[in-house]
Amino acid sequence: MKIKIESNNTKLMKKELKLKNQVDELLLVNQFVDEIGEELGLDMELLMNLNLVMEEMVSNVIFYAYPEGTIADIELSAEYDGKTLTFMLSDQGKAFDPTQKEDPDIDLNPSERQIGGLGIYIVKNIMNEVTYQRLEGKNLLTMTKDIENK
Amino acid sequence: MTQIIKKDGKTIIKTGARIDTMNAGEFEKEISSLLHDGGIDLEMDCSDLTYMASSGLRIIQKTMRTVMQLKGQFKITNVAPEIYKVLTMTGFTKFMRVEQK
Repeated sequence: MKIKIESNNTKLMKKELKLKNQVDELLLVNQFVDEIGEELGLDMELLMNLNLVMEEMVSNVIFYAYPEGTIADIELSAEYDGKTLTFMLSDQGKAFDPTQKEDPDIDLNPSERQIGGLGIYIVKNIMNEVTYQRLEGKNLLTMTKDIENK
Repeated sequence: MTQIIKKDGKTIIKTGARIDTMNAGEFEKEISSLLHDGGIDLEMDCSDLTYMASSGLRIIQKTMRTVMQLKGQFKITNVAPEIYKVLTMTGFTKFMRVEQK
């Protein structure tokens, strides 16, 4: 007799991506997030939001972490434990804590606000938790999103 | 690909599928090339737009400012629900006309 073992439907996942601090590497970030979305069966809206989040944070590192003309590595990892999807972004550039950036005043007409500064605000709104650490000369940003099990 | 349509004194700028970090500069050039005349009546048609990063929001912000200085009008139309949510989250829908798909 054959016994069929059913999986308990909990998908676990761990993935890593190494990037250079160059703008066209954002394509790889986009692919990375799309693959995660496919593996975990995420809906279109969440997938778009996660792409927004990763593009914002990785592009910040690409544009501001290193002096112009320096080629450096950026690491992005994603892990899913059956409940929470955790992204970790690290670079060895200058210390920058995006969680400390002041939120824009969204009750003010955008045309009268300072231009820009919305990316980090979007990230804080979309993710459940965003934490920053400076460890051994590295910026380490941890971003979590709770995923509803379907 | 961005398309620019002029009819009956109105200017419609139809976006491509994405406004992201990589192509935002190009979109900004196209939209700002339209912003010279006083009283401009501008519509940003997002029928094909499926993704917009904060670089896109930044362009909308700047366009709002310029159109206001030119005493013109500016609205965003045919916005996908997911993108509409981002525009609400960042406080745009309260201050300008944004029409959903």
